[in-house]
Amino acid sequence: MTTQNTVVSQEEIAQIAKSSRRQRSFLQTATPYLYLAPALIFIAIFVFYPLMRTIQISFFEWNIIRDNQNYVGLDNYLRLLRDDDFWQIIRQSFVYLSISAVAVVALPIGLAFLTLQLTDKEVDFYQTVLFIPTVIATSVAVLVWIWFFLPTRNGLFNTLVQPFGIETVEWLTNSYTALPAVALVANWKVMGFHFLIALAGLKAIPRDYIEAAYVDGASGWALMWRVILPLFAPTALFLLIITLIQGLEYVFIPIRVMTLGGPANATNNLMYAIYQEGFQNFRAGYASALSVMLIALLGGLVYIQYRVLDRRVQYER
Amino acid sequence: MRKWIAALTITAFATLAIGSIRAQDTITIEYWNINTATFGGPQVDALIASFEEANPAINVESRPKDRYPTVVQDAQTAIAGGNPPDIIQIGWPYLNYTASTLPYVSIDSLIENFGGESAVGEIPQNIFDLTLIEGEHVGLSYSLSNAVAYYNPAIFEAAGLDADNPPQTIEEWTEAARILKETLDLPMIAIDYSNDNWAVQNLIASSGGDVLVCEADGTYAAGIDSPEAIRGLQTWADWVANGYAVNALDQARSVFWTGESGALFWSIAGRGAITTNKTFDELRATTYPSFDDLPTRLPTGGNMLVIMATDPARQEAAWKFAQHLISAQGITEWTIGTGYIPLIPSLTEDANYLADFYATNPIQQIATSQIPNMIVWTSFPGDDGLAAGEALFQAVQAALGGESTAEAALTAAAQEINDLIGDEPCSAS
Repeated sequence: MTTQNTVVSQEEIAQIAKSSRRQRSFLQTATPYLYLAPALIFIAIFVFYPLMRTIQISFFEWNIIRDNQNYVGLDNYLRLLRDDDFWQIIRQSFVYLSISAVAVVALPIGLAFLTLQLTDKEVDFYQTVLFIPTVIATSVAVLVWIWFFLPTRNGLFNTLVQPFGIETVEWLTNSYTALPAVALVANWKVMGFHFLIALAGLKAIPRDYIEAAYVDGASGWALMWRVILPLFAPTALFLLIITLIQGLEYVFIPIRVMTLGGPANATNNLMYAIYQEGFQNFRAGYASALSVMLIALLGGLVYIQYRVLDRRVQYER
Repeated sequence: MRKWIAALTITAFATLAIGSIRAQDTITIEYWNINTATFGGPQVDALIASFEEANPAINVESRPKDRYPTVVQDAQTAIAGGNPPDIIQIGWPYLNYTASTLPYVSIDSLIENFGGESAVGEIPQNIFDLTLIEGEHVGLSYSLSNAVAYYNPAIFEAAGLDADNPPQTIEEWTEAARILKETLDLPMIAIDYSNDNWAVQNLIASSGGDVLVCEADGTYAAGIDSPEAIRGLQTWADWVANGYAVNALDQARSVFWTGESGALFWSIAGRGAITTNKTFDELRATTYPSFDDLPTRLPTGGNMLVIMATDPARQEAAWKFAQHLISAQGITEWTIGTGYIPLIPSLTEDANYLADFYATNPIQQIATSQIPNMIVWTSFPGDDGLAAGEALFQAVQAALGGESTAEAALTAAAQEINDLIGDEPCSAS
């Protein structure tokens, strides 16, 4: 058995070390991307590709089934901007979002704060009662609401308004009452879920901070304003942002089942208009142009909201 | 432990194998229709059950949709996704759209490939040819209906109206509605309507108007801005404005069957649904009202069966099911359960089928008496035909809601429809 001593020069050692560092550095850089890859691929396929394709289709005239797509440039966008219905739909979309901001953000937060005065058992009870609409199938719930809105003397809502001298109201075919009626049903369905989130946000506030504030002499409004609200702000911001993003979606099924977007477009919004154009009238290009507008509008609103409100929100780090 | 795992594995494979053999033997087809639980759904289920009993190798799954436009729209989406329904009810106004836009298997090729001449031969030629487009039968004529005026005699009597001599003209209905409003403070008329525009087409046509006209240059144009058509819609809008009619989309049927209106103008196909759901004792019907001395012109409601299956085995299964639906027994069950006018008129005189039913059912006889007044349910041509239909629907809603007059709403809609249908060619008859 012979042994062979190998003499390794300084240069070679440096080379090996450099190569090893490079390898380590590559691995360090690549590892997070490898972890992220499945999610990124998923998002690329199911979010970015459809988004790009939507933008592409918005420059064409196409009825989805036929192969031929006619390039029309910006024509779909120009038609949108010239269409009075589009501006009516934009206005109504803002009305829906404003109603949702009150009904499924402010109201559940207010109710969640009120429950602070209650015992755990009472909180459980209200939590259950408010959450029930969330688990009922939307289409089933909407059919029941249609009965409440029956435009006859014995319809539930008409029975309620008759003592005030109001004659029979045709709730779903009157352009003044149809939108609030649809919004009521949609927000009733979601409110309980948002209440649960708000309640969880409140319960997650560390007791230490509140007790420390007590020790320092804070109580009542001062405690609420200076301690609890700032700590609750991330939850409120979350509720506001998801409402903004999903607010138009909440009313989709109620519109579809209760009013078909009418009377004369009075309950339509951007989300439903996309469905109408894309899957009722089969004008995929026009529907895609509407989708791009919706993305721009909601994206812009969420960005502004985030920029304005996020500065005032304090996160526990 | 190993033995257990082996036993479990063998059982799982055996189950899968048997399952796949059975799956190979059985074909499941989808039947898309508008027959919800309160509108013919139970009859569809019964017809499927009797078919499956006779054809154990074929399963039929019913997929009810709420309205005719929904059926076409959902089918188009499914087709775009590469998964067309096998057999589908398509409302008459979508005949041209189906022929020009949707993939279908013509009835002629189905007969050629799978037989069935005798089943089809029972249908009178003129009814069979309702689906004929450019020499090809796009679908199989199936359901036929017209609009009738259902009424609640108890409400008539309570208001001092003669339930044995119900109103016949628009003017008489208006007067009866005034009396009912003054005596019982109830609306007289409920009209079931939706975005298929069937209800408004009954009024427009009966007042002497046309939804579409064929211009001298050989292209279609909207006819809804004519004085006659405007009169038709304005009559309805005036009834609503005066409280004589409720404006309630398809809630109208609920209004009537809960006893909250004196009458309901709806399809004869809804007779079964009203009979099942009404909360009052007696239901009667009379003919659809006429404008002055004009004869009523009633768009033919109902649908055809269109086969869209792409696989030959499924095509054959769907075709067999279609033949079951149009068999004498199938039509008898369908007519008794829903109210649709039988596809084979002679069945109404056949003691084995509908003779007894017709003899004892005066409401059904009303619909039969109106057959000479039936006209084509107009559809808008071209790729934007569905959008044109929506434009008319919006005009109806605007007029009924009081946002504009019938004239303003229909004039604006006519302009929009003309833009949408462009220069679609027509042939003046």
